[in-house]
Amino acid sequence: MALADLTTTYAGRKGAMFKLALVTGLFTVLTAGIYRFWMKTRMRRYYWSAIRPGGQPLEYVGLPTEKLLGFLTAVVFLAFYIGIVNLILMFFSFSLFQGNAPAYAVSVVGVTPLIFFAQYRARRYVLARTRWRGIRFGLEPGVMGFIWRSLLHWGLTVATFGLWWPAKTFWLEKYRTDRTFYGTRRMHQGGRWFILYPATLHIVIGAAIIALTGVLVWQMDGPEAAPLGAIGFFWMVFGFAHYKAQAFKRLTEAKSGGDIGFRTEPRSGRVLGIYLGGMAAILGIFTGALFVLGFVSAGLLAAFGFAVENWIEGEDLTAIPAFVPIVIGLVLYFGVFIFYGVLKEVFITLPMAQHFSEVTEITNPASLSEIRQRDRDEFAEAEGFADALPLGDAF
Amino acid sequence: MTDDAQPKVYATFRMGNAKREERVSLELSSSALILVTDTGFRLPWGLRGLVEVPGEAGSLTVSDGAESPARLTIDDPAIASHLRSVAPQLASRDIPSDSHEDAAGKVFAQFADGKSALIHRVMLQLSDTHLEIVHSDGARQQWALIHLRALRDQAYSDGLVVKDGHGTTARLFIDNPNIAKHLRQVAPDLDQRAPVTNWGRITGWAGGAVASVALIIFVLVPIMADQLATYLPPEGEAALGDATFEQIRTALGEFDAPVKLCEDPEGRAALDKMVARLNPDPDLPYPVKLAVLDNDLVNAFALPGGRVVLFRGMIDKAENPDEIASILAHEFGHVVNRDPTRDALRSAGSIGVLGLLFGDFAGGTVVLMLSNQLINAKYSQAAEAGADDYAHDLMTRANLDPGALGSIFQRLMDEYGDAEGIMAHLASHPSMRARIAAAQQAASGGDFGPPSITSAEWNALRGICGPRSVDDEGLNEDSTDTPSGGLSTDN
Repeated sequence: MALADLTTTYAGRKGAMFKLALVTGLFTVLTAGIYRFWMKTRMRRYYWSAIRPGGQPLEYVGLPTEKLLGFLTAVVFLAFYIGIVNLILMFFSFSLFQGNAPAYAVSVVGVTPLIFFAQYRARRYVLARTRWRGIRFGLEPGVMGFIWRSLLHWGLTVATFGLWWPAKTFWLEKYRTDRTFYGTRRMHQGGRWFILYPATLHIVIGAAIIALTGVLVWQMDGPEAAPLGAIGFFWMVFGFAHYKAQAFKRLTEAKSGGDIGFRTEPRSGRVLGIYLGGMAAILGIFTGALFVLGFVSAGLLAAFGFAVENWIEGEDLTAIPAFVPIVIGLVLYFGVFIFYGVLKEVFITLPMAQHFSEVTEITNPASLSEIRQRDRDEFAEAEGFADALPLGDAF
Repeated sequence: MTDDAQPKVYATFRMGNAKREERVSLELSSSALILVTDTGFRLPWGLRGLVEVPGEAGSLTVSDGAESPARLTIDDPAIASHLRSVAPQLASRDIPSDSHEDAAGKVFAQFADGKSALIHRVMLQLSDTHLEIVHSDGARQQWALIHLRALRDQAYSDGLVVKDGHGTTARLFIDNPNIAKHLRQVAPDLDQRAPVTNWGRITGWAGGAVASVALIIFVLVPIMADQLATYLPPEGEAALGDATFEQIRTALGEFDAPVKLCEDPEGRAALDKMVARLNPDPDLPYPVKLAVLDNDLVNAFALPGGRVVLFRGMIDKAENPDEIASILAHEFGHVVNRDPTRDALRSAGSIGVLGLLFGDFAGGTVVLMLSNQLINAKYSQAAEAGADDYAHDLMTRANLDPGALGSIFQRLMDEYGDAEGIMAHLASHPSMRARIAAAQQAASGGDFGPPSITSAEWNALRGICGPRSVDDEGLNEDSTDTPSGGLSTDN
């Protein structure tokens, strides 16, 4: 008898995420960044446990202290590389080219292989610390193959002005998926290298409309066709949301682990709605906060206006210690940063994770019963290199 | 064939792994439940040893002890209820059940054994010390309540995922809020964190990281910057200085217009005359490019490639031309020592390393700049002292009073206070008092010539930024200058 497909429920809540992100964000700033390893761990625990395929939550078992250790290990190696290499590059840049732009360019190229190294190692660490139904995931060693493939595909992507992007995404995802295990079961990325190209349809249409607008404006020698450009722009924005949803669908449905497969139906409109609604909510909250701040200070001035004026006139302003404005400035500065980060988690990351989870099913789950536990992947450096290098912080 | 007075009570019996089930009739004595097979074989099960095991919903399945493979399934609710009242271990348990799910008072949860990806439906029983997990095949395992640990930061906070101590892979998933709540009350250390076992290694690597970063920032980078600064071709330095100069003009400008350059011809002529009198050329690696910026800042600084910048605010603060000459001499000292170039190379090295340390958490850039300022201030203390020494020397050679540097410092200190304490570490200058004393020392006993420019030329110099209204005079207090006054080697 075939078992029913496993649907995924999502247990994450905006309120709980707001609290967690705010508290951990504050601690991170108060500890000059040290707490970020704890922050990352706790946020992942929450995000992982919210996703419940077949009703059982994912579990993230990574430890903050192993991240701290991995980071320290990476610093010892990277400090030398970055400090000395930057200095020498700066020197040669100014000696040979009389400018610092070439130095930054060379510096980026020099650090690129390290970034790919860090990406693969970070993926290996995260998978090794993820469990579902008590069974570990894992990623086979194979970082060198990933580095040269990444260099090749990113090179092609740059050389083709982005046209190679969908193929690059497919090949790099295939390299990692084919080395991914769930317990004793190896995963496989099926499909051909061009399967992501149809997903770009609406980006292409948007770009074509913009190009057409350019031609029209040039031909008619006037701005009459300009509104068409706006349509093209919005079409393209929708196109990116469509690509995100469709690329996920095409990659995920082509993945398998033995008999086990996946079915997913992400909706482009929902993805776009989450982005737009999320940004509107963030903007609205910041505007509201600004208004409240304005009203409070106006109220204070109205109530104690004369007192404040007299105080300012009577006092020698230089008597206020210099650190007072500095502290107020820092509090505002960090406050805005933390709050933006928190709201982004609450209004964009969490709803996005919710949508992609809820539309995804595991098909033909009967052979899950054959899957056994795999050994723990001791991983001394954790994701230290990814922590130390400025990688995008996708969870 | 029977002629029993009582009606018989039947149940289904299964022995261990045997596939076959058989119907048995039941008899009850004061101490035992007796199973009677159709063949007349009588099997007594002590009432005290009877335990409940998972079975079909709506019926009661019992066994004669936790380890026994035998199963007896009673479908009749009345008999089941009677049996619960006479067998002590069958009595209703403490755990409150979700009455909508199971009328028989049994409590179920999902269980992953950490060995296979199967999810098992298990029954839970609670004693004073243990949580007992009863599997469908009758196997039981006991988790001590004091070892129970819950997963932390879970999204579904009404439920509970528990494990038998840290570092284990088996998991019990309890979605029923009532059971989760009850378990929270009876398991004392549910929320205890895993002990950190690698503090030793963390401390070791932390030490290594601090040592290697310190070595790089305080030893390697400065040594290399000093060496490389002398090898950097003048065109390279000039490019670096020009780029920084334009950045500063833009940063201080208003409404997108960079700060105005002050180029009144008469003032400029006076300034050039002053520089000619100082005559630093023999010492310079390349000619200086002196610019006056129309800004209230009481400051002056040198940039790589011989660029020296003087703010109008500084000219306003000076009471005689030699004070300005001494400030210029100080900045020429930086140029001679190539301090700005060293600083630029040093920051290139150390900012990258610091960025590494603080990561990209919210607003890390500020921490980064502050730290870099702290580190550079250390070097600058020596650099400033060197530039002061050069200024005393140059002024004396030009037959000008080196004490002028001391007198303008004194005025700045009277107005803004000495930079000491925390601010002294952030300000890139050694204590003002010490510098004033050094200037007075250099001037003592000397007999100096007339000022570098005439008083008419001094007036022209003061008007180098063009005529200003009377209102503007003496309104420098609201400027955003640093407490320590001017003369930094910022770049």
